[in-house]
Amino acid sequence: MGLTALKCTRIAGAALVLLTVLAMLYLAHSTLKSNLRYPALMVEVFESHPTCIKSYWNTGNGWNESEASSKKIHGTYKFQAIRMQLPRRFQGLRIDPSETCDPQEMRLHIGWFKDWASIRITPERATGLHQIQRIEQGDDGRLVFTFEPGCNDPHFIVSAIPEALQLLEAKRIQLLTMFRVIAGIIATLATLLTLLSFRRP
Amino acid sequence: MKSQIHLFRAVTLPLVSIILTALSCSAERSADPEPDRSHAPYSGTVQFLSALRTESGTVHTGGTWASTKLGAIGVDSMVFLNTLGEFNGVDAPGSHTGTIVSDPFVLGDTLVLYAGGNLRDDRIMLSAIDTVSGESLRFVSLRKIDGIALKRWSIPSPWKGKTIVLKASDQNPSHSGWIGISPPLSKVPTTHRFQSFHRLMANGIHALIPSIVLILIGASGTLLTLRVFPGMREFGLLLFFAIPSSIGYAAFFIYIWSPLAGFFFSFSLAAAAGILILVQAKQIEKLPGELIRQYLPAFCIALLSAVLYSSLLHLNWNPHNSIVTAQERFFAHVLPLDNFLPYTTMERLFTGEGLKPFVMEWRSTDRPPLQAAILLLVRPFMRDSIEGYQGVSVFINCWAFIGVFYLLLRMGIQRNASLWILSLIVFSGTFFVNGAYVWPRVFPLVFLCIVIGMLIGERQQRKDFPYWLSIGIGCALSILVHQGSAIALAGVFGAYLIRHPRLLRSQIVAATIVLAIWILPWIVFQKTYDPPGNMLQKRFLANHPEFDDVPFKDALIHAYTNITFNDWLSGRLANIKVIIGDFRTDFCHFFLQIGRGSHLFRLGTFLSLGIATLPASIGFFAPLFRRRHGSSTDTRSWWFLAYMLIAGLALWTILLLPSGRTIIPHGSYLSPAILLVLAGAVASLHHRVLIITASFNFFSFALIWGLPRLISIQTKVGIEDTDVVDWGSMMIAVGAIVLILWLLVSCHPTDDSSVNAPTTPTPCP
Repeated sequence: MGLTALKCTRIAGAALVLLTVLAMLYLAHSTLKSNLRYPALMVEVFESHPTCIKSYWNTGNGWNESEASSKKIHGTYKFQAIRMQLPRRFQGLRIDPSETCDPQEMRLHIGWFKDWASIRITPERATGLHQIQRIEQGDDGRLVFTFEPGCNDPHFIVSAIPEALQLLEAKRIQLLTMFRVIAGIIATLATLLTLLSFRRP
Repeated sequence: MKSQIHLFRAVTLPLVSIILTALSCSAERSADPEPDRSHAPYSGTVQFLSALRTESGTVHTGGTWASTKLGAIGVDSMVFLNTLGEFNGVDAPGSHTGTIVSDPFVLGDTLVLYAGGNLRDDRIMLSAIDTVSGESLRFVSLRKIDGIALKRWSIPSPWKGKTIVLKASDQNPSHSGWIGISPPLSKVPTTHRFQSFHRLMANGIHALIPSIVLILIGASGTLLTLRVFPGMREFGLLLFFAIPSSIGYAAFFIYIWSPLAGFFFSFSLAAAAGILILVQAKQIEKLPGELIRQYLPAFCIALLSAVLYSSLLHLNWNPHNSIVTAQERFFAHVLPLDNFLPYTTMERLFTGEGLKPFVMEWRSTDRPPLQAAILLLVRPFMRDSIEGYQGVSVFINCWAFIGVFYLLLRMGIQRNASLWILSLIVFSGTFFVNGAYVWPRVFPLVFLCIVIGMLIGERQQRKDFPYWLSIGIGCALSILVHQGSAIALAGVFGAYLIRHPRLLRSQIVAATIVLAIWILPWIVFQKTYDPPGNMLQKRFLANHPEFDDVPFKDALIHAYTNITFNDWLSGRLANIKVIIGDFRTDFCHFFLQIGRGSHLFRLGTFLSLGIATLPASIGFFAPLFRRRHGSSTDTRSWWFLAYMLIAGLALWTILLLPSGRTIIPHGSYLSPAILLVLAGAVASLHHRVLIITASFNFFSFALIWGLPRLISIQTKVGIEDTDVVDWGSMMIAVGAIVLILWLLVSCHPTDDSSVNAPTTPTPCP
């Protein structure tokens, strides 16, 4: 005797699978949505001495310590990925890439997923250089920083943040829409299959 | 079919009734807050017996750490003395000592406080001072509290009705010495009787869909594989667990490459699994009732064990999340961060943050990734990642019981007796602690036991390739969960090679494929992502505890060239003593000093193989009562299993170089599992002995781990506190135990239970 010989068992089993698929789609959607709620400053450090990287965001109150975030850079690693969460809306972004004067190589993105829904910070976007001699574009979009000798607070400001945030919002909506379309197709397919399995003799 | 329906009804009805009762209690709590309004801390109207004031020293109220905790428990007037130093790191200059006292109040039957710190420290004193005679009564806590706990002391008769002043004095200036108390309460607020229950429910709710997704992936993958390769049918059980594990392993690398790609991989895979199950519904119908009957009870026990372990974890009030609760819940000392490591791996890869640097001095490559990888696979379906992680981890840990059940069947033990033997493991403190404190120690058993079952279940050496490939996959996955499995497997195959010394071509081909597909990616990852990734091997096999880049080979050569034979030998003897249960080595003595009093046996269960399996050892006396007609039992596979255990233990004792470090967590949990399986198997020779063994084991478990201490004990030091039981969690725990016991009683073993019958699961026709 088979497992699903009884009709009610078969219907219950198929309905349970359908419910799981729908719940799974709902949960995946809400996780993606919550992940895309706040953008982040994504830093990929290729070469650096041990130091700290710090970012300030201006929400109308100027640069202040309560609206800042910092992370340690461990110089021993050849590659280190760092993520600093930013608020959803802000008008300006200041980045203090180092606390020392040693040269650095890093790649900077603002967004959520670095290759898919983000904006790369290029030397052209860096304005208001302070104690930074130059920023050059290296391989793979790396930024090569050279600091002034004896510097103690090197930093720069990322320009055109409101426009960048608008662009990010468009990418966010695009990503969510793509997910919703795929989820809709899956939900329809699962429902159809469930209904078909009800009809099976 | 009738028996299936009967089983379904019998399992479902009590489960539904328990859930309904739990929900009704929960609803009652939220719907009717009025009766206990005076003790409703959420409304900020806690009525304390008296107020606290500073007598001397630096007293901090709040701070960043404290305000979060206070917010969590709803108490807004707690006064902290020597506020945590290293934990909150704020305004803590100089020596942190001082005293706070309460206004006079009358003692009732009980004294309840929200308290934190180390109340067993001689320089930290919490006491009641009689305002008339000046006598004092000291209140102590059995555990150091790394946070705030709800504490209750039963007041001795001579002190009831006395007017006292509560005095908290901290004369320990170090960071670890601190005390934090709330103003006194006369009873536990009713709302807090369901505090942990909410967290237990969160465990279940956030783990439900991810767990079902894992089952769907396992089931659909198995069905698909069997359709393509019908010859793999007899390895269906291994496939069921190996498929989600292997896919999770692949997901680990995809998430490292790109978190978004990983997200869509998880999502598409789960959707495909669901759709595949619906498409293959016809094939599921072909599953015979025989197969379902064979494994359904073991699956029910695994599921109920997960519920039981989670509810026992949340049996007492705790303000922390589940991960921290598991570190603090069981012993006098706080367990290390190991149960947090898979979580942080999962979460950092999911959010796109790298694994460099990892946690403290550890590197991400030091620990095999499979637990984190499986959880990463279902991470998109967790709304609360911490509670979801805890719930799913307990669930996958309990898969081990299905593996053990398979092993028992392959040993020729009948289904009913196997279930009773399985209860020895389910109700074992070792498996409970390590099942709830979710480091990947119990989980590899599912693969190890299936592999051993496949090896010992065959009289002759099998030569077919799918058989050895399946065994190879099982071995690789167990090592990818925890490296300790490698030593256990060395013992298993050592014993196997003595019996079957001939090396087969199919074995070599299977081993090559497994190494290339499963092991090599991890080795490449270790060597390229964050090398060297050999910390555990160096620490345990070469006695090289430093975190450095020294290659394992060099550390090993250095260790063995600098050790004398006498030192080496005394180290082996110390290792044997620890396995048996003698803790006189320096390493274990350290634990013993912290684990005083009633925690000693719990600690022994955690550390020593001898003590962990002690309650079940009466099973070994069964041959004394064995009836003559039961002599047909074929025990050859049992002996084979015993040889595997002995070989594994011998290797463990010899290879573990640091002296006296052979505590269970440093090795593989296969050893206690096999020892319990053997005790149960021997006990099954006489059904009454099996029942007595299982019952004694259950009562030992309930007494030591399950039943909370209800009455405070007056000791030389002072009045010891009692744990405050969470009513909701207790109800769920009792429900799970009742269901497991019902399942066992309905599958009563008989004296024919251990005859040499063909009990290998019947493959699908």
